Amino acid sequence: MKSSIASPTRANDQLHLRWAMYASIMLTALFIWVYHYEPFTQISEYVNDKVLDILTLIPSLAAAYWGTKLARHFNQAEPPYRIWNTFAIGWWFWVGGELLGFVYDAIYRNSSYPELTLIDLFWALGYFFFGISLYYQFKLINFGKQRRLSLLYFLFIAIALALAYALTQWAFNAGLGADTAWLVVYISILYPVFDTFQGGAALRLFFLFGRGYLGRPWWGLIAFAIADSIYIFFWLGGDQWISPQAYTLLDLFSSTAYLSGYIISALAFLVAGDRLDSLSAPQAYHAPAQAGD
Amino acid sequence: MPTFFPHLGQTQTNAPADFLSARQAGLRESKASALIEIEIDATRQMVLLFAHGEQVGAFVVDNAQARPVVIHELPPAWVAAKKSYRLAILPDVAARLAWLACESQQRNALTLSGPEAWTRQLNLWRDARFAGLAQVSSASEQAFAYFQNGRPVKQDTIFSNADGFSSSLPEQWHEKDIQVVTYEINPASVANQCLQLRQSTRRWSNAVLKSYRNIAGQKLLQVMNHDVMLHIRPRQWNIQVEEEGILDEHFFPAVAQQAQAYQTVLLACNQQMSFAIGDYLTRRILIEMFDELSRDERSTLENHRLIPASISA
Repeated sequence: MKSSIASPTRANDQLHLRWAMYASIMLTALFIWVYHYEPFTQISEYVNDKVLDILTLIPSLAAAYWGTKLARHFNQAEPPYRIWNTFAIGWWFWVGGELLGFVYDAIYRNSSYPELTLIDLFWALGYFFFGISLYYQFKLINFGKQRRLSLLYFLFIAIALALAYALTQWAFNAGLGADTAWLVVYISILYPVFDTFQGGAALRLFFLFGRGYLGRPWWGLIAFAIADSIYIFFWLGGDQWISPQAYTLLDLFSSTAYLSGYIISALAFLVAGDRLDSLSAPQAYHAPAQAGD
Repeated sequence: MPTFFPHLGQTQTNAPADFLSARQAGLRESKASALIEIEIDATRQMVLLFAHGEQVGAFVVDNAQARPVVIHELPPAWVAAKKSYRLAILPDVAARLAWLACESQQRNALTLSGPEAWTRQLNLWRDARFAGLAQVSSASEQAFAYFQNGRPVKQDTIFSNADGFSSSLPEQWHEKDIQVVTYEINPASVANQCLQLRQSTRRWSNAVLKSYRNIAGQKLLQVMNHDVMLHIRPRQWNIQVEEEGILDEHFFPAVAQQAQAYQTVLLACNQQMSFAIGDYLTRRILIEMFDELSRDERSTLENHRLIPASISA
């Protein structure tokens, strides 16, 4: 008869994680409420926006912090260190992007942003590090097929850049972004395209890792891809084809999916980190004494 | 003249008739691995081997050549006669290597004179990529080692002297007059089947854990090993899951029992790996590393249903 090993998660960890889960649910509920009902617009729209931004900043910080903590569990020479460290750096750039949003909002409160901002640089660097970490992850689990993988990686980047280029051209031909510089439109399109591609790669990892807790941090990228796919749909004029109620629902769903991207990755980092923390104080094990010892 | 671990245990001469049965009962109770040597005459002795209190074999050793006998077929008068007995409690590795030696045929015997000759012999084995069992004895030291590719295998090496046992061969053998015996292992013997299964499982588990460590990192591998050890702890097997794979230092008297133990350990490893990297990747590692084994190793494992499909099911 096969015996089954108990789930490795310790009781203390479960309590710890349960609290993190409750906090995440409350944060999401609060976000939905503020986003949908806009209760702070009674003060000003700016305040309502800032409340939403703060609610987004919290899980983004958690993801970056716990991602870094996870990476620190590994020796620098180990392959997982490269993956999680690069991934965490990506999250920190996005945290930087979220924080810069506050700064720009304060500076340009009564006017519009410049066409290219530091925020764009931080988003772009975030994507860059996410892409690298995905590459490292695929390289690690594709034992012995690395050359083909490198080719595939560069092919994907080339396709993403080309698709963003094609969409930019289409946008200009359709009369969208007429007053905006070509590069700015291109970069605006590049974000959701990259999100979708990285979400696709994360989806592939989802199938490879299944429910394994080392694959879960990638699930956040899938949520971002979903959020940005809806954004692309709206941007391509999809909002004209659906009813206002459907639009409102989809818009809420997209914004919540974006927030969930941070939350999912943060929780997944926390679970994996806790598992590694459990080694710090393991139950003592003594091998059975041998006869003659 | 005792053959196995001569510096261990006390010889009892003119033992009473119930000496043997009393000692057998004592070993069963304490679940100890041991050997009992009974002197037949000046050149012959009987060796009884015990794995955790259970007798696994009886051999008559005549001029260092052992042949199996069935103890209950011995004349009762002989068994009851006042003989000289020696009981030595042994670590599992020592007892099972003595068992392997008893079930094998002596191939070569040579005498080395001193530490330099011993070092030379080790180098010779290394260069010739010697594979087989060697017994090395001197006045107060003895070692058994199973060699692969000219090097002693960790879980099948035992060195013994007045200080006790260790699991490695000494680079320097300090005593003079070193007797070296190499054995031709009988492929059909149970001891050899256990050895082959042990080696194949070690190789497979080593490759699997190495791949897992690459993906999950050293620390998670340690977490896994720790949890697997806790899981198998109630079984009281001298088996450890270490970074180099499954280290089996248990004396299993039957290959089926041994395979069952490995199945339990590998299933526990599989489950722990699945928690971290998921079922699919775990199964893929098991399959890819199994396919990289030699044909003989694969067939040894397959014979006992130690295959990826039964581990990851």
